[in-house]
Amino acid sequence: MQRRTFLKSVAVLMLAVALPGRAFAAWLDKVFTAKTSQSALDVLAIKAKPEPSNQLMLELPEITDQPGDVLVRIRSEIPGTDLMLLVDEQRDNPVLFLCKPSSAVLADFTTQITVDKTAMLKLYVRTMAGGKEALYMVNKEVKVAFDPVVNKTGAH
Amino acid sequence: MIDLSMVRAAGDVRLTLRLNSAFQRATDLQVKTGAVVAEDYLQQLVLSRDGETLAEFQFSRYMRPKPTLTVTLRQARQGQQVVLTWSTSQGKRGEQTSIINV
Repeated sequence: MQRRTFLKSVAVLMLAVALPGRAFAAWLDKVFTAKTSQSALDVLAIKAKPEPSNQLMLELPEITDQPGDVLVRIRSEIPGTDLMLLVDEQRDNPVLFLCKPSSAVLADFTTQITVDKTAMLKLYVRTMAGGKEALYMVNKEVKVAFDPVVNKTGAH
Repeated sequence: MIDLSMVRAAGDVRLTLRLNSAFQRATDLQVKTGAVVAEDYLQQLVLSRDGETLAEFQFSRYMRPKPTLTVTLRQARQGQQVVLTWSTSQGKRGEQTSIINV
């Protein structure tokens, strides 16, 4: 089973390398237009079930005054981290950010995302160690204090 | 198009990438007779050093309008070349090279 998973991952990687730019872009589009996190993980050929880990960090403000850009930091201290996927399950297309770090960089990135409303973000991290695939996950909510819909209707 | 700043942290070098105003202008919404015909945004960024891919990043349209990104290179040496290759959702491409100098 592990060997099969490893071979599939190698096949996906080889495919990514072999695909001409346009086909690779189309494959990538499938990840970003997936309707659920699970669909995106399927496109990425990740078969492992997610487990919680205290070696992952998803850092972002707990609350933001109004919709807009917020800084988000994602970090994995798990050896063999080769893919990080940030999702917001409430969006029609939940995948926000995908990165594939090599061992030459820290699996520790800070970027910005646009938050329109209170959201539960999830960070999935895949590791490949000794040919064995594992998937870890952590989540965190960011609250938007000013809700334009509520404000427009005057309701609270 | 992408501003790159760097600071040394022990043996590592932390890079901060920021899309600048030229990038913003190049990827402005394409508007024709008042109607938005297509949106454009940074979709892919590849960071490499001396021919070796260090990391690949893909962004969704929700990352608009101006993602910044912080990346830490392990064991970075003075004078090494860092190459950024990027592409947008509308197919614009670019490449720029920086030298590690911190």
